Amino acid sequence: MIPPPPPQHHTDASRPAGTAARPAPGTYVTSNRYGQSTGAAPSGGAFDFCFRPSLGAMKLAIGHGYVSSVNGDGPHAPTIDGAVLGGTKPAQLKLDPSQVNDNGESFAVLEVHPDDKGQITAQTKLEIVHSKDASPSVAPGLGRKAIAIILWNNDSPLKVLPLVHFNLQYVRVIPSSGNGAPQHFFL
Amino acid sequence: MSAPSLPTLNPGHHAPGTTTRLTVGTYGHSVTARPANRTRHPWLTTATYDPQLKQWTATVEPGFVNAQAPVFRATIKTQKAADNPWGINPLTGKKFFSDDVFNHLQPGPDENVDVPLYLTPNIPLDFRNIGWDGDPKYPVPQFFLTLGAAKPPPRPSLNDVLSGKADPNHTPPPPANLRLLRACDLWLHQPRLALTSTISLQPGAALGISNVTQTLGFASPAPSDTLQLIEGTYVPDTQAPNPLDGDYTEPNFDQILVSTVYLLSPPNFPVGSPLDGQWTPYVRHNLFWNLSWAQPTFRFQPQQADTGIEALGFLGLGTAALAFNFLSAGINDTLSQALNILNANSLAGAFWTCTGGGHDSTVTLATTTPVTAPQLGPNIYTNLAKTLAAQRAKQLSVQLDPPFPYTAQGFPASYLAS
Repeated sequence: MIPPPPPQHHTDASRPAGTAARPAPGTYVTSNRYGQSTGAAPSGGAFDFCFRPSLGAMKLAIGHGYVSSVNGDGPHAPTIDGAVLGGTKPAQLKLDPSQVNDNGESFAVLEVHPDDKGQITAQTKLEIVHSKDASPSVAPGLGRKAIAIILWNNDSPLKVLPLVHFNLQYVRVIPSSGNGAPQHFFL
Repeated sequence: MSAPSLPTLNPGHHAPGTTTRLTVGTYGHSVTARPANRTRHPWLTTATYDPQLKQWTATVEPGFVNAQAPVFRATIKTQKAADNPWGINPLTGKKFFSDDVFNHLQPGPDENVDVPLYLTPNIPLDFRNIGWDGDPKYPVPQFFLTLGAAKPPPRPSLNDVLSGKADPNHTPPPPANLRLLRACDLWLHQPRLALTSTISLQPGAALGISNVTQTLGFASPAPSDTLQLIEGTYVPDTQAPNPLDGDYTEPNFDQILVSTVYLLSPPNFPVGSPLDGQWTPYVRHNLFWNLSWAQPTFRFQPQQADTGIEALGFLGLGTAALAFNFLSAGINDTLSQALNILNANSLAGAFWTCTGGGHDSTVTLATTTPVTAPQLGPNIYTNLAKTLAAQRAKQLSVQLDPPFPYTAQGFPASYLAS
């Protein structure tokens, strides 16, 4: 049995006479005694980003994600009904049709309850809830950040779109007196 | 068991390899590489040509600002012209305006309808000429110069025209194999509260000195204005404010470029050729991730040069005004101080991407090193930084978008000041 010769990746100068194929950007040509073959790099895998949502039947599963603050400890993973994101117990948000707003939208909202210094620690309550409202909070003890939007058709969730793709860093700014409400920034 | 038979020797045989597809047509064989999956990131723009409508349109992957989807404002008539029949909602399978998102509206053909981006509106594109037959004020990306586009021909100087050396109406012949280039921008329009400024002058205590009162107030955006995606020619607002120009009002919106769609013609296309399916679309993106947006908190900031500050406070009915008094030695001094007050209290907002910290994936090297002894020889850090910058510039000259994870908008650190 005659083994096939090893494949050769030809350049213009070394291409056998009589062949016309030349590799364009993104492709390569393999030429051997059995003929020529054009190939390309395989496609990439899916992007498993942070807080990646997956829609089920009246449930929304959210993948791993972390929240930290500048001077706090962590990062820490939020919870959904006691289940930690990315933990052994599936973290699934129950979707309630009563939480759909007039535009047919509802939101998975991360709620942060910082300590008196505005930091996130191991004792900080980090919870993802289902809400019809994605507006930020003006209360000093609560920060809100929508991480997914669910589109509805009457009482059925149709589609979920992610609103964040990376882990989050939380900062609270309390303006000096007389200059406005507290601001909760997610960086 | 016998070994499998080997294929016959045929050096002329051509087969598709992995991740490719072989097409046999009238004019021969074609091997196509199946493109690698590109992350369908928010704001990903795709341009297509409809030969029946003779129109280039774009669709944009849903992106959000503060969890709100921008809308594309259109009429039923224009959307029908862009091949969106407004018949059936692709999300629900029902008639379009029966869905909650439209609050059961039934607009007429010429009335504006706000279509959220997650309903994939077809956005008709209006292109401008750039390059050889375009306005010289629009730059031509190196990427297209490499592909065969050309910069606008140099125009004769005024001296050459006046001296008769050059004909102002003469157009040099296009270079060989010239490819024409067109561009259309897509950008976000975010309405916001704006700062107003009114200046009044009274004679001061001394000759040549004026007592200036600058009153700051607020202007709301139009009630019908909303976060929307607009197409056309994006012009960033770089005009310096002029507080002395009557009652000055800063823009009541913020804008940010989403993407630019380019059309490149085949070689040697005549100038003035219509934009049909023979042109090749390219897209350069400026946004890749969802955004947050905020305005700075309006804070009363007394001027150091004030001789007295009269704060009128809130005047009721939701209006507010603050007055600054300062002395001025002339028009330039007035302008300078008034500008300082305006810029210090501007309500221009900022967009940023939530990345957990940082917004640039490029690695920057420190170009300075602690010097403890006289430096001998070249600075390797500076040279390496220059090499990396040159590699990045070369990379961007052969591709329009940066590589994954692309780029993000930075957070304005000034917002953290209390």
